[in-house]
Amino acid sequence: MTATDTHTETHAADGVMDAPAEGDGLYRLVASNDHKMVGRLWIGASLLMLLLLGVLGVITDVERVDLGDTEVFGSVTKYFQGWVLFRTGIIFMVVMPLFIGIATAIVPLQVGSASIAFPRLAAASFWGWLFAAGVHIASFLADGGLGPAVGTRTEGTLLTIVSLGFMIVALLASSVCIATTIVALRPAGMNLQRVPTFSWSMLVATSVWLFSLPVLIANLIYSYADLQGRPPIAFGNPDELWARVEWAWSQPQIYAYAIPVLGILGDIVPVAAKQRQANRPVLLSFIGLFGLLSFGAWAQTFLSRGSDPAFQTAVDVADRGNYIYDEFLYIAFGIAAFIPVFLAFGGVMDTIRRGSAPKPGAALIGALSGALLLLGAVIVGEIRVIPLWDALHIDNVLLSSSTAQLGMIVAASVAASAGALVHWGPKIFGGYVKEPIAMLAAMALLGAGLMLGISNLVAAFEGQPNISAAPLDSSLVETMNVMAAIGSALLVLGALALVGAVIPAAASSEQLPDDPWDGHTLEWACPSPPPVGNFVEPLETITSSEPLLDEFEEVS
Amino acid sequence: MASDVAVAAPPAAELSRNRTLVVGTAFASVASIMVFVGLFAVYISVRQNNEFLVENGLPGGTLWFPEGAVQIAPGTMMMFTTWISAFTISWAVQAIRNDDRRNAYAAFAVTLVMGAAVINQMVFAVLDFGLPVDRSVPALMLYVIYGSYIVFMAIAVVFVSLMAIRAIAGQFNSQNADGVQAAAIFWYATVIMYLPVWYLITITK
Repeated sequence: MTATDTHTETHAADGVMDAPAEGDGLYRLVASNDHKMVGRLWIGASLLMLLLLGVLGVITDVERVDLGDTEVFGSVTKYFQGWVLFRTGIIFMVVMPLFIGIATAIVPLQVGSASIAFPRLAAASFWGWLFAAGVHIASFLADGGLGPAVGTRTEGTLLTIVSLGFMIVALLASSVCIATTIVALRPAGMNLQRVPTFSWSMLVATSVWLFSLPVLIANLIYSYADLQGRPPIAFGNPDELWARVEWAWSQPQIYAYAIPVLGILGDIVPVAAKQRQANRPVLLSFIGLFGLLSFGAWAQTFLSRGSDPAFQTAVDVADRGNYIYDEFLYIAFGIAAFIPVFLAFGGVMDTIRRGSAPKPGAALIGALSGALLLLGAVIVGEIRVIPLWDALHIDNVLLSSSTAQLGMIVAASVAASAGALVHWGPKIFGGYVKEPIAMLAAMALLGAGLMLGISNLVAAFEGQPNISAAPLDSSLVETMNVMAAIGSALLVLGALALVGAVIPAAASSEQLPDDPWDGHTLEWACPSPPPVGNFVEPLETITSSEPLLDEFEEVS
Repeated sequence: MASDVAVAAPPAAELSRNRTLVVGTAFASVASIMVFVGLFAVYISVRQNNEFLVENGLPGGTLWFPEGAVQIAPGTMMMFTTWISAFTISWAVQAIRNDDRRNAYAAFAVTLVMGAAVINQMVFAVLDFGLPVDRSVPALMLYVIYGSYIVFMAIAVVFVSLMAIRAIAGQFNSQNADGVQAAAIFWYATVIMYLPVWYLITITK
């Protein structure tokens, strides 16, 4: 049997449940391609990576508190390596894997499938990603990284590039499994408009990732080729390596990693408010529009003439042409991204207003915190692109505030994931995630996002550069950097609390009801935890986007 | 009497095929095409900037490809070969759908030969360019694009070979041609990828 085998197709709607078998013990852990197990592996590994990288984030922020020296890292090169590892890791080892883990476990249940599409590929992509992530961290220990020229070794840099590329390929392979499940394994009657909001957001997110991240791979291929066998002449220049891939950590692309936040919000709030989501197709459209506006592969600095290294030496500043940040499209995308997030958030808030006053549980607080932080991140994006700062001679706002956005996006993603893990804990882990500890996690993550966002934005207005720890004669900047360090520490605290809340659920053996929250969508029609094959009985034809709510209303 | 009439059980409802492999391959093909979009975007921007420098007599401008280094005939031959192979892989899909196994095997064989021919021609072209990759940015980009294309074409050849073997083993027929269709989708993607390679490098250089 191969990864391309078509014999494991599931026909949940027809009552045929064909899903991969599970083994026992260690074999079950390593060899299982059951989507719940693979999802748990993704979630567990990404939370551990969050702890590791969170500590690194605290260290890099502490380094910036005293802007005059590099006491913690010992050299600017080491500081920059840590700075880059935090960025590559926090997106490709934490945010994306966390959402992929939740989606791998939940999406097949939401769309009524007995299994994820290509279960062996889904499992293989996790192990491939884990290996590549390990190599990626090791590459930095071997003086790799993405620059600078002084203090890094070419072999280490090559290892960083290759491991980053492989991580992305593994994440994209998993994205294919999730997107295919949503498109091809829905039961009869469930058209795309009836797909649960989280699954829809994952379809949008994985599509944007599949369109944009291969372009990052193309950047890495050029850099890798240029570093082979001789000193680099263009794309592999260590002083420019980060600038060539920076677009993947800047707006609009940075939004693409947080698209599922809106999906989690859209699934948790109606259940908590015990109210059908009004104008649901409009909500789905806003999520789709946000996905469209977060496609950022075109916003590469070096694709604009103003940033071309050849132009830097040969052409006068006035004749160089636009930088990407001055392009109309960049400004328009930056401004427009706010609209769908704001309207989607407003639509969901309206559901709370119309529904019965929801109990402020950890799931709801996590989802709302995530959405609020995402809203904050797009507002920072608005501030960044306003073509006013140059006129006011305020430098660095555009470049430096990307750190503020990154912090908010990461905190938003983890907070929303915390809400998702509480909400879907019975399905993912077979136990209840500890509410009070998860609530603490959600609150800590909200605080972390706000502190990271506000402090880095204010520091940017004060002229702090995005990367370097160069000295600045500003006590306000130093205060803001202390605040950012506290924000990073809160991120670690939130991660620790989340891990602490999840472990009892994973170890639980208590009997749970199928639908403890009176859920609206199909995942609540299967047992908790779901058996292999997920659904005990064949599904009937789906006639709405909230089939379980329909059933409940019919009965009552 | 109706009760005396033996009533045959109605035929079982045909299972709907979910076409996971076709959909998954379509997603993977889009991602593969986007790798080339990324490669071309950088190529075009560097080339345009270089043209500006050369036209204005500014330092930093470089001779793009020396005269005769990239010849039109081999590149154009490859272009025609890939496009013909798009028809032959369609022929394979159609033949499998019609349970015409003899035609299907012939179509698979012709497609694979054409794929091998393209790889062979490309490797020959790479060896024949003789461009200074150690000091020329255009040459570096040329080799990266050609090298990447060889890799993707090789993947397509392996994919079609695998599906051809499974077709020979009888796994595909008029009721289930998903594997062959999926291989064809990836093959079409490689054909599409070559069109800008041909136009940007062989024609406009």
